[in-house]
Amino acid sequence: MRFPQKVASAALQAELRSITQKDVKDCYQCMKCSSGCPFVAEMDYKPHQLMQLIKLGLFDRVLKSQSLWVCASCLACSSRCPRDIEPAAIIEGFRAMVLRGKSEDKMRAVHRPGMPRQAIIASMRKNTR
Amino acid sequence: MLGYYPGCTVRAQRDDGFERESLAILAAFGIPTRELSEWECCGAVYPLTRDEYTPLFSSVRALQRTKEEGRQGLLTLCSACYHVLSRVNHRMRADEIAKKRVENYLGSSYDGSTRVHHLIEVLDDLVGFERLKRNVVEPLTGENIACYYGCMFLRPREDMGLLDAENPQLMERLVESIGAKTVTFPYRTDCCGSYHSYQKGQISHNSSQRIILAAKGAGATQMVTACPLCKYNLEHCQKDLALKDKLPVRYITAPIVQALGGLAALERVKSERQTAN
Repeated sequence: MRFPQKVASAALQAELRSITQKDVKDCYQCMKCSSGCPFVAEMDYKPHQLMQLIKLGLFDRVLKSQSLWVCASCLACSSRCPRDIEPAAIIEGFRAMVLRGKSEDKMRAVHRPGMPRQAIIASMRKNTR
Repeated sequence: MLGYYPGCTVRAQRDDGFERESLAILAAFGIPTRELSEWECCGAVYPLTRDEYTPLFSSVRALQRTKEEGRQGLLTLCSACYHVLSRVNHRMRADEIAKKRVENYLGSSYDGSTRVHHLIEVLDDLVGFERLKRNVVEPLTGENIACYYGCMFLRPREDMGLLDAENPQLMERLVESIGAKTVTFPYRTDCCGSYHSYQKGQISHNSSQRIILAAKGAGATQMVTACPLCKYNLEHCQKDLALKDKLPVRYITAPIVQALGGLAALERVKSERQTAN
């Protein structure tokens, strides 16, 4: 990030704010979100890194990040954030931006006998529009 | 009388016995429940996007119907239903815009005044752990029970309002009242991997196994939970574990039923109570 990169347009930033009604600029990188996240090992950008990228306006990287699809919205980050940013809600906002902008979705229908319905319904809710 | 909201998973997996055991325990203690005349799935996850209102409808309908049918509150067994119903209820009280939009769409008003109860909360508030303790016939001495809360039951605290999200003690007090010991282990409020078991099995496998091994390491002989999906994940992550590392995972109702003398005895109390009435 040594050279200026393409930052998100004002319209895109406004879209994020309208979806989440939160402001990432308050983040002071205390890393409480990443320290408590049960899925950091699976993420390319950790939650606090995502917040920093968003603060810098580097939405392209966030929109391409696999972390968006690893977060299960368990709200450990949101409930511990001292700045009340709710990283889980911000991540959901980016998921929504990806899914709303595309016709295809992120879900593969598979048959898994014995899978609780809750898991299938939640997957549909999180990965499709 | 409490309205009862089974939810999709508890109803579809009724062979697990969670529903039958829960209702038998409540009936034996004289807490009448009746299933709502009509209900839909709550959607399994609460929408974190603030600009979507359709995902709130099914929960609002259930909460509204509870009032219409004259019930004192809405009982759920599943942590996810409890999470979604409580948060939607909270949103209807706290968010004017959401309330107005939902009401306009549904064509009726709802003020968020229905109380949502989780089974464990009902056992604490309406039955009382002391009363539960007095009715124990087979105390579970020798059992070290790991209470796993998971995420849905606890967070966010402002909306759920039930427990300390970092160090909850409700299930521990319940388990101690039936004579068992509890074990303190890390990760008991961590997420089990949730719906990832459907699409990204490895993620939920890793996080669930971490929870199981932590509980086992702390000396647990069994684990209890109130969520059908947590139970599924925590059981299925143990397939590749050595026999000595495996840990039975049960619904929270299972040890209670066991301590109270078994399901048959509980259901006998229930029918005696009905004849007496």
